[in-house]
Amino acid sequence: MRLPPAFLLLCAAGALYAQEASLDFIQNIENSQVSVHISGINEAGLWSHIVQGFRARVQYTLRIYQDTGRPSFFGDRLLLEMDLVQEGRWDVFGSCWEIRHTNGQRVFYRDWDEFFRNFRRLDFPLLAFSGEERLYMLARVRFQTMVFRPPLNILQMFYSGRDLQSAWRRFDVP
Amino acid sequence: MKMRWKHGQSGSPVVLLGLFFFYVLFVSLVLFFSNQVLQDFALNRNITLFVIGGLTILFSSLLLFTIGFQGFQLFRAGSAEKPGMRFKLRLVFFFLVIIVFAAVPQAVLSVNFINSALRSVFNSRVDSALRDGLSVAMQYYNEKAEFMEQISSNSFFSNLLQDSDRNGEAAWENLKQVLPYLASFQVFSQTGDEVYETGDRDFFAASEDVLAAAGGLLPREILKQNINVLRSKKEFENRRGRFFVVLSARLPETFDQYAENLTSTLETYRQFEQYRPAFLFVISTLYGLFSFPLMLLAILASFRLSDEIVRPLVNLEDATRKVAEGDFSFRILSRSRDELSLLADSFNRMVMELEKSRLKSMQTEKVAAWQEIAQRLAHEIKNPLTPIKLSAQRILKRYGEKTEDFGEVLYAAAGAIIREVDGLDALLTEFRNFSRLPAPQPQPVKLKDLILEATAAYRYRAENISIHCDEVSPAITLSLDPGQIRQVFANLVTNGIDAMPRGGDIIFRADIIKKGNTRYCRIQVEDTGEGIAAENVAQVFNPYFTTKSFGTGLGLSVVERIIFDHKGQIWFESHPGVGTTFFIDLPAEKQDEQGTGNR
Repeated sequence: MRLPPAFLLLCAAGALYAQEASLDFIQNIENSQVSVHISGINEAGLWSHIVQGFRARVQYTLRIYQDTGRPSFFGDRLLLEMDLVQEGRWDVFGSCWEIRHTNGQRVFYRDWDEFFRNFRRLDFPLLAFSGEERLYMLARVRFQTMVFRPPLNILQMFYSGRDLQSAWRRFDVP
Repeated sequence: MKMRWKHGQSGSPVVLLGLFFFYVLFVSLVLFFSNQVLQDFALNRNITLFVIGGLTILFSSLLLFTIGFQGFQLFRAGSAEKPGMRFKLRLVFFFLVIIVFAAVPQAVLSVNFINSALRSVFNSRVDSALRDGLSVAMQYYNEKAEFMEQISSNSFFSNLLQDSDRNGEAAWENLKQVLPYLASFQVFSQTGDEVYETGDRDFFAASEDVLAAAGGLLPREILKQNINVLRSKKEFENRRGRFFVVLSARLPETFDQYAENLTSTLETYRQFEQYRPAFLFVISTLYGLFSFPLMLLAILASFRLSDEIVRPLVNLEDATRKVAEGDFSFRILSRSRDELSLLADSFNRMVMELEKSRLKSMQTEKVAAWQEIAQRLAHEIKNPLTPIKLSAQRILKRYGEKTEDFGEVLYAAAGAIIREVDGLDALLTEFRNFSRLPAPQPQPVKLKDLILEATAAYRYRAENISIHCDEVSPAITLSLDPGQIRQVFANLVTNGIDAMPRGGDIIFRADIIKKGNTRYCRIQVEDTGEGIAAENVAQVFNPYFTTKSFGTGLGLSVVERIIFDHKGQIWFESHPGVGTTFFIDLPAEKQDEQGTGNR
């Protein structure tokens, strides 16, 4: 397939802005964790993309702040900041769906629904902050349909127009 | 004489150093960018790429603006015919052609080379090799997986495991003989309680993970250090209840690494296959994006280098013109040691020698002129002395003879002596006036009005003579001493009238002309007289030279002196029998032409 330059230029221009994704928090009091959900992903598109042998990526950016009570100009105290990445792909050997986490953990799923549910969800434990008060979490998520491999990764910025990105969302830790 | 020095070369490398600094900065930026894009950067690094792209565009815009400004200045200077601008324009054009000739093939070759290199790497053989490798790996994996899967479906294994909740050891030994690569063996009750386990503990499955799973081959697991585990779940029922067995088998440690390499490379290949046109387009665009500012930098440098080459030549041309105009105090200062510096040195030596020679010549001319004046003056004084002497001798003779007409003779001789003495007095007065001609007192004067004033007395006095001033624009205003220039016109008109005893025309003309960078008003005074004989042409402006039976021969000398004092020039063209035209060039400013300016 040969793409006309004009089309590519349009892609490049449109790529500057990713589409808006929405983000939800679900608190699980029993095991003291919060689940961050991204919605708006085109499920059928993701499925057809992954079965072709490509991988997709969800990047969660989390920040835990402690409200100092001072005006926001002086800023609240940042306790933790982390980028957590989940890459989803099809495992041709096991004929199953695979999610790779930032820490190297790889989880395989026979069932697509289970894979999709876990792919767009991140469970974050809050036990480490149990003694702290006036905590809140800011989260942002970015979903990439296509993770380009080097040297094609240069295309990433021109194709980010197909990606989803959420605004920063706040979750007050109880 | 005070020397005036002009720098032959700019000598200031600040601009070129600045351009070089930007060059190094930009090349570093490009190298940083290229290193970034070859890594698998995270998403948030996109902002870095956009910043680099933005800086590149900003830098290019700045350079484009500067080049546009330089080009506009060059064009304006060329339109104003400033010295050296055409040469500079030609040099810039040559530099531009060289830059384009160097850059365009390089860009085309680079992109073509990248394309060819990528095509050679990602070709159909590589695709086949990758797919074949993947088939081999899958075949190996499937063999293992099928064995594990058979455990749940094969009746042989059903019989073997039927009593494993009570006699697990025997079942494990038997299984090991059939499947030697088994790593662990676990028996769970229906509720997930562990009944029996044996083998490598690292491969044990957690009961909650396998409890809900259906029987058969379970999804593969990757343990620590990329150890692949295949598990099979087999349910059975006996008198003691329902149980399930979990068998774990390990694949070689390198399997996952090899499999990962294969699948990743295949993924890259597929991406390249799908996005190759886009990739090449982006590479070409980025190449252009980064090459363009470098090309602009080179163009900007070409402006500066052209300036460096042209400036010494312009200075030399300027100095030559100044010398031609009579300013021998001009010198060129050159700090470099190149051929242009040698040329400047030669020029300075030449001007020095010219000045010496001119001073010597002036001295010789001065002595010669005074000798000639003394000779002519002696001649002019000696001429009346003879009649004076004769008259005196005649008086003495008649007085000795005591003749009756002595009174008449005395009266006539005394009258002759007085006339000759008056003539001598007039001659000496005119000589004194010539030698003491005052410095001009310039003021704005309408040229045509001045000509009309100077020639008014001759219009009605000279019969058969017509004086025409129609070809003098009333708008021309010059800065000059009206008294002296009036005398110039009067002398020229007198000469013209004397040259036309049978009548004729005297025509005045005036035009604004340009010599080098200086504007002049060229005044022509033409008569239709007899013309000047060829043998007299060289002596016309010499003092006391005249072809007339009357006159002192100082008229044209005075004219030349006045014009010289006004920083002008005078010369003539004469054709015997046709007439003579005197040309006078007087300095004029631009606004003088429009009749509004003054100095």
